Formats: sequence, structure tokens, C-alpha cells
Amino acid sequence: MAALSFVVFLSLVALTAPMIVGTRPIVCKYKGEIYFPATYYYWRILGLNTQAYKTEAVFTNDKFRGVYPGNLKKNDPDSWAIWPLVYQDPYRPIEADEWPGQPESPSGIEGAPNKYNLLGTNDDGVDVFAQMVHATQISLLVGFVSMGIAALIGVIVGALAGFYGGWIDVILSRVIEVVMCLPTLILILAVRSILDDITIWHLMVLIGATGWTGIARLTRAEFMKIREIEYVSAARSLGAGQMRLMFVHILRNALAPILVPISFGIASAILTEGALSFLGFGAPPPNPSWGTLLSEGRTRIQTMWWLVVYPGMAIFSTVLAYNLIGEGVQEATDPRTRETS
Amino acid sequence: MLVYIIRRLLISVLTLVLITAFVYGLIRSMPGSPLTAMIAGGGDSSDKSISTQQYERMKEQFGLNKHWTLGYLDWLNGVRKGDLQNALTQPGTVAKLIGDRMAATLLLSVTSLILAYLLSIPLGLYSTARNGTIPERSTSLILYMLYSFPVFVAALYLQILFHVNLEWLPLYGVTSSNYAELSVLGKAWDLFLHCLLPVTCFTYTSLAYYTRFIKANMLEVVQQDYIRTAKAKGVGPFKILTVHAFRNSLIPFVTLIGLTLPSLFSGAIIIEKIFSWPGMGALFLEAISQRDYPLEMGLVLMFSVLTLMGQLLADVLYGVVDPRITYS
Repeated sequence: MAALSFVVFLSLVALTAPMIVGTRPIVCKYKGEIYFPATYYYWRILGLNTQAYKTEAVFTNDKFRGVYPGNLKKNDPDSWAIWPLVYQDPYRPIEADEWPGQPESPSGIEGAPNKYNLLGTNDDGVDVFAQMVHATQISLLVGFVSMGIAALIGVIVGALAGFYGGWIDVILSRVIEVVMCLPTLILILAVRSILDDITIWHLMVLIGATGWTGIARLTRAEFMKIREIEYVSAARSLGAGQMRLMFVHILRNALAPILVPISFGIASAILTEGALSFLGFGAPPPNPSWGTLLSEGRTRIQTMWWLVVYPGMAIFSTVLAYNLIGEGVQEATDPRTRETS
Repeated sequence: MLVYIIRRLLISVLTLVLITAFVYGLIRSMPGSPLTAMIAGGGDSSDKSISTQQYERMKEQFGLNKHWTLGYLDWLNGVRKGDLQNALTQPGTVAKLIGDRMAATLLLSVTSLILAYLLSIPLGLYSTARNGTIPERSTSLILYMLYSFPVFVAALYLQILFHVNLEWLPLYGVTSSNYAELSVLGKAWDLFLHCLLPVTCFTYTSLAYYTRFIKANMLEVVQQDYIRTAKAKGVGPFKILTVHAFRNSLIPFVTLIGLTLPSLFSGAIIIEKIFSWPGMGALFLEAISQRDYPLEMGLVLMFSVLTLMGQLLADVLYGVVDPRITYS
């Protein structure tokens, strides 16, 4: 239960990240029009930079340079704005008096946690709290999208292998084995160096495309078991087609056990993204990521502990939460444990 | 059984060919070649650039002028004869380079494997015997948290605690800079201090995993009828747990050994990077960043062989320890 509420909390943080911390107003009225400049951050996280720049085209034309508080009042005295809770930016350091009374962001060793930078700043003076909040979006996105891809591939491959058996099974089982042995790191490095501009989407597809083997094996085993049960023969004799047998009759009954590797898979996808960013093979640096923060912290481990401790806690608690959920699903679906409780 | 093993082996060979071909094609299609690094690196001579003629000659010598499929066939042919070729960017054959690094990795992985087994068996038995009590619950909770603790986070936390705050242990490396001057005892102590953190990082996840694994199996076994029989005929609780129950829960445990075989050698890329440990994980990263194709292929071949062998071993051992299971 605690795990579930933590995941709900994380999702809320992810959804409202630009409203919690950012330098762009959530809503503002400027020269008679209503704008939502904070949506800029959503587009940036999704890697759609042109779309992001379009949302603030009006302000760029008026030479805001991404700094809103002073410029809004200067260009239009009647303007008003609703600001995020904390005035910090995940992409750049804050300059002195951008926000009334807030000093310039410290950088390097100076950037220990303080009143303005709750969790400190990194080497360039970018706020760690802002990066961590915005990175929540990345890690949730990675967890769900890449596991979605993995589940889709895994269920289809496993279903085909388990349902048809014979040669199809032999071939698909070899494919599963090959993918299992493939070093994920090589695959990702290779694709990274072939594509010039890697985005978070490429990473998610790669993590998904290598992470489906466990799901496929389980689905195959479940299908082999269920296809022998009477109700499948009954459905067959009633004239159900193969697709209908596979995805309506068998898959629905196999779904509960398949959920277990999927929920553990979300944890491991988040872990993989963290590890890749940590090794420097993740999405490129301006994107906030817990793993990137950690790897910065590793090079500054002698002095800047806050770069290690906070992102580390974030990764740990997220992975723990998903593992606990997986555990819960396993207990709920496993008939042996269900009988005893 | 023999037929089964032979069939599995044949299929494994086919799988291996598929894997290595795929990886070879992939790494050959990465931009840059071993020569790029060499030209850019320049070396220490005064004229850094290699002439085009030299470049072409080296290209031919390394077999880079061929299409990757032909290069792969060459490599495969070499493997068939037991020759993994020479590394391109470092002196020596691939086999020797891997062998040199293997000791460092095995020092970590074997130590931690032994530790994990030694600690997890008593812990697992303890958790079974005291299942449901508060001390057991808290042990399980701690183990579960350890199991979810990402190893790169744990490594950094340990470094901060023991190196930065307490200054007890070295940050990374295998030996200190004054290693050569130390006495034999001093050398051993120095090595021990350097091993401590990486071995801990290596051990704790498998420890947590094994303990949970043992406990889960034991809880199933203690519900069996023969345990009740043993209890009824007056066997003591300790003997029931160790002799009657544990021996029967060994079956799935044995298969675990097969599955951990590949991680003995490979599961260390991140740990070796964090602790600058000159093992095979580090070699893997070096090889790929320098586009050293034969070296990379040698490592990939080794990891895949171990993974496939581990799975086969698990299946075979399963049949050996449990005579009820037959393979036809």
C-alpha cells in the first residue's frame, strides 16, 4: 500500500513538475492574452525542442531570453502571473536578482544545500532540486513506455511460441535466447553512435526491445499450460478462430501471472536508464536525469556529497516501490500463497 | 539424457553463431574504426598523421577493407581453429588480454560468491525457523531493501562514508601507489583494503536474492508430509531444518548456481568502472570505445558461451539432483 501511494505521489510530482519548480509562470496575462509558458518544460522533457520554443515565441520576440519575472512587468505593467512554488530552473543557473531578493546560484563546492537551493547545485550552478523534480518525468516515462514496448513484444512472441508449438516454438525460443544473450550495453552503444542525435525515445525503445525475454518465456509457459485446458477445446469446437483463441480465450486467463514480470520490469527499466545515464550513455546531458546527477557526483565525490545522496535516494525509493508492487501482484496471483493467507 | 545434452549443445552452437554475427554486424556498423582512434591519438612521434598509403595498408592488414560479413566469416573461421586473433589497439592476442584481466574480476566475483553462499544459507534457514517473528520480519525487510538498492548508488554511498567521511578505505584501484615497497603482509593488507568495498557491492544484492530464494523454497518444503513424519518420530527441530528440509530445498538452489555462472565474469561493468578495477568489465568498455573488434568479439563470445552453458548446466543439474525429472 505504501509502495502504491509512493508511485502515485511520484506520478503527481512528474505531472506537475513545472508547477513545483521552474522559472516560467504557470499562467500569465501578457499584453491582453493568457499564456501558459510552463508547458515549455513538458515539451523539453519529451525531446520536442522546436515545440518548446514555439510556446514562448511571443516572449522570445520581446527579448525575454527565458527570464520572465522582471521582463513581464517591464514590457507590460498590467501583466500578472502565477509562479511555480520554487523559482529554480533545471537547465540553467539563476542569476542575481532575477527573482526579487534571490541571489545568484552558487556553483561547485559553494553549492551546498541552502535556503534557495534546497538540495544544492551542481558544478555549473544548476539547481539539484529542480533537476530531480523534472527527472521524475523521465524515469516514469522510461518505466512505462519501455515496459509497454517490452510487454507487447513479449506477449506476442510468447503467445505465438506457446500456442503453435513445434517449429514456430523452436525458432522463437532461439530468438528469445539470442536476445537474452545480447549485451544490452553493446546494442545501446551501437545505436547511440549510429544516430547522431539520441533522444530519450530511442533509449526507451532500446530498453524495451531488449527487456521482453522474461515476459515472453512466462507467456509461452502459460500458453502451453492453458491450451490443453478443456475450455480452449470447447471454444475451438465452437469455431473460434486462432486469433480469437489466442488473444481472447487464453491470454485473458494468462494475464495475471504475466503482470508479475511486467511490474518488476518497470523497476529494472528505471534502473537501466539510471545505470546508462550514470555510465554517460543515457540521453545527452542538458536533460535532467537522476543517473546523470549521480555520475557528476561521482567525479566530485570528495566534496559535493549532495550530488550523490539525493538522486541516489530517489532511484532507490522508486525501484523499491515498483519491486514491492511486483511482489504484491505475485502474492495476489500465485495460488499457493493465496490459499495459505 | 546424453541425447538431450547433445541436442542442447548443437542448438547452443547455432544460437552462438547468430549472436556473434549480430554483434559483429552491429559493432562494425558503428562509425569510426580502430584506425580512427590511432590517427586521432597520434602517438608520440613528431609527425602525427599517418599517410594515406599507410592507412590503406593497415586497413588491409586489419581486414577492415572487407565487407563485415566476410570479416565475420574470417573471425568465425579463426574461432573454429581456437584462434581469437590479435587485439587491434593493444599488443597481444585477445585470449591473453582476457586472461590477464580475468584474475582481477575473479578475485572480486569468486570471493563475493563464496561470501554470499556462506551467509545466505544460515540467514535463509534462520528466516524459515523464525518465520513471522519480529526479528525475522526486520531481517527480511532489510534484505528486501538491499535487493532493491541499485549497485551504483550503494557503491557511491559506501565511498562517501568510508573514504570521504571516515577515511578508512581507499577510493579505488587495486593497490596503493607505494605497493612495491610494502612487506608481504603489508601487501596483503593493502589488497584487502582495496577489495573491501567492491566485494561488498558485489555481495549484497546476491546475498539478499539467495536468502529470499532459500526462504521461499524452504517454506514450501516444511509443509511437506515427510517433515511432519520426521517431527512425529521425534527428530529435533534443528535436525529437521538442516537435514530433512534443507537438503530437499537444494534442488532449485543448485539450478541457481548455473544461472549465476555468467555473472561471475560479466556482471561487473559498473562496479569495475566505479572502483577503477582493471577487470573484464573495464576491458569490455575499453574495447568498445576503441572499436577493437576482435577484442570485443572475444568478450562477447565468452559471455554468451557462459550464459548458454549456465542455462544448460542448470537444466542438467536439475535432472541430476531430482531423479523424478527426465529429459526425453
